[in-house]
Amino acid sequence: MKIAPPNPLNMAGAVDLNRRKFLQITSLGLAVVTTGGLLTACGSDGSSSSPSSGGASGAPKKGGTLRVGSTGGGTTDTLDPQAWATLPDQLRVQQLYDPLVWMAADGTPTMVLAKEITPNADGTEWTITIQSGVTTHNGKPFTAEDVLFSFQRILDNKYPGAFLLGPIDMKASKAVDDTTAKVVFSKPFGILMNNLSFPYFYMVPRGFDPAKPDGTGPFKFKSFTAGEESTFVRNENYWQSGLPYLDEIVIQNITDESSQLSAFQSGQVDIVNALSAGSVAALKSGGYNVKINESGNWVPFTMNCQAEPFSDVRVRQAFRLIPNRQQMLDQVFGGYGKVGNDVFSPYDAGFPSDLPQREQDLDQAKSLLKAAGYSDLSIKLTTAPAAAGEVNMAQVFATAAKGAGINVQVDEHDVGTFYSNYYLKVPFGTDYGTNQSFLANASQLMIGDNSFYNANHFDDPEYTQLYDQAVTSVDDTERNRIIGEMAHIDYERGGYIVPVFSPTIEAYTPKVGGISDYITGVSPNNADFKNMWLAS
Amino acid sequence: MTAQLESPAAPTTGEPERIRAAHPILSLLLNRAGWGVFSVLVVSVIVYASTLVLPGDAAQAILGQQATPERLEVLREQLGLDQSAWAGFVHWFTGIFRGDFGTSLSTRQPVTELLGPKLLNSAALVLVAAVVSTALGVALGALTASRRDGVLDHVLGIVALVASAMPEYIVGVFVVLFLAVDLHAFPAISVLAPGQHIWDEPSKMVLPVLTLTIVVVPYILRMCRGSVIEALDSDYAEVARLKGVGGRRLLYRHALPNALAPTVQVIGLSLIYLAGGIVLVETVFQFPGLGLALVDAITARDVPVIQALVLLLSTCYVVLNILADVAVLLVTPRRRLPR
Repeated sequence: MKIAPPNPLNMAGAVDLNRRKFLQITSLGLAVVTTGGLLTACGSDGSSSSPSSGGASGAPKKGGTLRVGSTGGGTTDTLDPQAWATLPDQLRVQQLYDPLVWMAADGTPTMVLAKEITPNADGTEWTITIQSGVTTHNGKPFTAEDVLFSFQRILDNKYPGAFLLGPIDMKASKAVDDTTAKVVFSKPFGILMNNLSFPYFYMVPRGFDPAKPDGTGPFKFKSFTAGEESTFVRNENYWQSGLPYLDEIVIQNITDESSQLSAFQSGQVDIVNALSAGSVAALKSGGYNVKINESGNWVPFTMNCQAEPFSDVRVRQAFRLIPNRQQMLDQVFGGYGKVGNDVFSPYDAGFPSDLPQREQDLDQAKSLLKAAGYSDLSIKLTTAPAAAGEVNMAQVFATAAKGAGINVQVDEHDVGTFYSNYYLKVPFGTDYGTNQSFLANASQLMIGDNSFYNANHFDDPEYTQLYDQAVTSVDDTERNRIIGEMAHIDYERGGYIVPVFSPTIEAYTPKVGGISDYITGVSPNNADFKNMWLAS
Repeated sequence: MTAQLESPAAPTTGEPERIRAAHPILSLLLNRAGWGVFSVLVVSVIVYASTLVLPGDAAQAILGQQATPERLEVLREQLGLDQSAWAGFVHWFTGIFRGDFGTSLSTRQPVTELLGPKLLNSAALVLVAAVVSTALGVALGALTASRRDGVLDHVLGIVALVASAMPEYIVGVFVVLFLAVDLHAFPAISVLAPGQHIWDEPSKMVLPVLTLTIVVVPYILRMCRGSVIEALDSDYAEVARLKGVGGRRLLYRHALPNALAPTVQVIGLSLIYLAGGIVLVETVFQFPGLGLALVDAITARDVPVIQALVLLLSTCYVVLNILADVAVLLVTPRRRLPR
């Protein structure tokens, strides 16, 4: 799950964690004070109009500087679009570079630089046709050779995308002409288009140097200091005519949520992202536009299927009956987001619609545990505040578990300690992941030792066999049917408890336009700044 | 005025005594500087050792969510994290004598290049805060002392007590709420565009300086008030009063100069506090200075940057301590006499 693009409060964003811990009291104080007093005062002196979520309306306008205050990141921030690690990184690289395929707001892979991506009959050779007449910011034509260079760069450096290129054979792959690349695979590979929507396949020109960023994206590099601020300016020659609308985008790192809110409320930035549910009421009463989206982001409990007591499937089933899902959503995420059903990637085209919603059933849990011989179970739940709500969810779970006669002790660590000492090693822990396609998640999380982030140590021959079939299939319908079967297996005997899918919450000043719904979890606005604009 | 001050009471028994008597400041400086260098070295070693105990390393911090075993290995090699701790320390230690503080592991910039602008920003912050707080603290201290038990004295006494009881990040939050969020008077955070210095945007310095001032002034005020009151109650003040000296003249010419020694000590301590207090205040305001850089470097496990910052901050600490002692000597002629 770690290979999934990071959640706002992620770990290289560990940078934010010290500070975050540091200032927990502060933000608490701020929330209390703002809700209670000052903001109400603010709202009552004029701008008490009921907040809408749509932002500015009317036709998009050209010009202006959009200022974004993003949480996460730090001195490790990078503009390398194939090796980024934090949320502000993702917001930045999406402006400077284009991917071939993009995970659009509704979660479907959608063509961007690629015009067409088609496999041969058995999926061993794919033809990628790109837009013609595209130039980089430095004025070089962007061609099929550059596409192959981008793949090669990812493979050479073992960047996150490397794994998702499957059995690619770069030696046999070649550029047919300026806009057509033939990409060859040593074995049938059916999910190239799907995998290319993974946000590490941004295209870079040959000779790329991240210190002098050159790409084909809607904005051009102007300045950047890691952990502080970047300024990008409009790419006048952008290949999508009419875009972008903005003259300039300034992205600031504001790691602490209370600082984000102060900067926003004092007018220093136009957007703040990845907020917690606790900020919603204060912002709404202040008359700001608050946009809340459901997403495929998830914060599961991980049960190690190879270790006691979870090696017994009845214990896993019992534990999945413990959380009161709606209550957890209400308590941890203010009721925003949506209830989960223990299987990831709910927005995948193949996700089955016939899984019954699992509800809390403590009696059933008790009898399952009894049958498995674990009537008086006492277990440690190891967790860290790596994602929003992660530790709170663990606490809510522990309380619910008492009802089933299980003593769950929440064992909280700081993020650094958690990832170096406990992650993937404990019988019972927490994790988090962003919205990814079903097979991208499965490949990293469920396939025995072949999955780096298999925190539930799932290794099920039937599941793996289905996975291999799905990966090789070039037929979408057939592949989606297989995904449905895999989801059913996970639902019955998997090792993740997914009680909820967390919301993304962001706030805009009223002059910001071009805001749409999205489920990808990339806050704000799916990083789609080229379609955003400012009302005068 | 210092060196030639020849006291008639000074015993002139032998050469060494004379030299010591003639240069009390110099001998103090040499003594303290020696110990200072030693302390800074010890601190460096301790801090280096503690970075080794921190879980995870720079490679893990950089890769974050993307830390596959393969990539970790490659990056560790690139960053030189595969060398032993001892070799790392020796490399760093010999480097500083050549003025080479190494390269940041997270930004891959030379440490001096990375920290230079931040040092200037922090220095500007501390300097302005120190000047403002000293002026304000001494003025208010003298004022409240001269109107002892008046309304102003009581009100300021309570305000100072409350202010000194509040941690700086709470003060920071309140300052932001009132002056930035509510009144929109000043920026709430001090993030700068690349290449800018804080004095290019002085408005971004207002709230951090104000916060530090609110935290520091109460100490100076109370110490100054106490010392001035003591001076005003002393025999020589009584004599002056009997001679007809009163009001302002008594305060400024007689009481205040004698009250300065303890006040200077507190000012020195406050400055020393400021050098550390910037860590919290810079964090609250995202102020691009050394304090924020330290927090970032620790989270990023960026050992060369942590080491350079600790060296810098502990040197600051030592130098300020010495300066405070010297200043006390300067304002207290009788302590310059041999005992």
